[in-house]
Amino acid sequence: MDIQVSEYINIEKKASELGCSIPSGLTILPQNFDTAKSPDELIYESTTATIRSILRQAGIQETKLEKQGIKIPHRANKSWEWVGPLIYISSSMLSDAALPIGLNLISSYIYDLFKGHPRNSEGTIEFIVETEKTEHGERRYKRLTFKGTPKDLDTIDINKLKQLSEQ
Amino acid sequence: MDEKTNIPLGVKNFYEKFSKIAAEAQKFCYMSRAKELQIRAREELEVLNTEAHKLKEKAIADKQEDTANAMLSIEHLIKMLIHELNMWITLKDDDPGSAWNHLIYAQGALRTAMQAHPLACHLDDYVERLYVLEQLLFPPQLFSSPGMIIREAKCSICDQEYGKCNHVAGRVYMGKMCARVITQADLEEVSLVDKPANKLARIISITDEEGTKRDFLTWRIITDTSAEIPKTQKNPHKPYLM
Repeated sequence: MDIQVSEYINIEKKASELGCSIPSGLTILPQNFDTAKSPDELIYESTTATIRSILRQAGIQETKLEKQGIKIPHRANKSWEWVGPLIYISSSMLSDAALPIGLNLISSYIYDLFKGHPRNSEGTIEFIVETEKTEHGERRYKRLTFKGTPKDLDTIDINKLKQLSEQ
Repeated sequence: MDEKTNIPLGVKNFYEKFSKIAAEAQKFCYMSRAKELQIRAREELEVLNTEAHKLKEKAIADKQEDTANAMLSIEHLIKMLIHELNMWITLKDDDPGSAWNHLIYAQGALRTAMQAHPLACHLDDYVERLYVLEQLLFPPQLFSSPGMIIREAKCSICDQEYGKCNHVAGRVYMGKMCARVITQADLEEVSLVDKPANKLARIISITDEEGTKRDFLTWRIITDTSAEIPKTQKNPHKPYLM
């Protein structure tokens, strides 16, 4: 599995600049959250609505970025490749008992979805994990990108997210 | 449910009948087999498909979800074989455009069969076979893919806004595959891609620097557009061809 770890922007600051609700717990972020200059530019990954349903069924209450009455559109996939949404997980959410269930349900959905596709088919899923505060009290965030077969993606768990985000 | 085979008891007899006919039909899924025998195998499968469809509808009416999903799976396995036979037949008819479409439909039918019920979960090798056929029988294709922004989408099962209900696209509910139906979208651009979301959206002709237009599959020169457009493009029910 291909794993990439990189720094991510201050989510709280960006959400406030864009006039959005402040993410907390678990929030699905638009794919261009870090680069959008105005809320009109925000766009979700095509798979967002599906992952939202799965998380809701796992009992995970998502904090939505968009304020009530505002709709952020989704981009349709041009390629077959499955790309999951950008999932923000706060440090407190990492120890929430519902999160492992949610991750399991997502990986089992991906496994089922890939049935009937060639064995080497790959999907991508990304997490933004809140790590620690800097000396100045600012929050830090890591972007974790996982690309692999359904079997590879099935190995993503809380420990892996914690371990990678501490790098 | 038979735990060894994942086959619900309600469809056991039909599955046995299907297995027998499918094994016979597979003997004709080769280029060298006689066309008339391939047509006969296809006809037998079409009769079986009608029977499978009725059994699925009965299971839906009786609210037997596992049976309905199993019948959906079998129905698509039958469709997969019909499309594969059609691919071989249309190749012999010198209609590679239709053959390509049938292969893509066969791949799609197998995918649905495997997603619909565990009874078809052992068919990974057949998946690979259909992808190998794609690479060996046809030259590498160019595909077009629209870049769209989805504004509104509905759930194909309950007609509610997609994401608001508990149905999930790609999962099966009472013999029906859930899909997200896009009802409002803005077209941003159209790109050429290697791995498209829809392999039916292929480029069908290409014009070289000298202005010679060729069919992308046969490489024949196209002189008169109306006469030379592949049969598949004339069919209004196949909207993705460009």
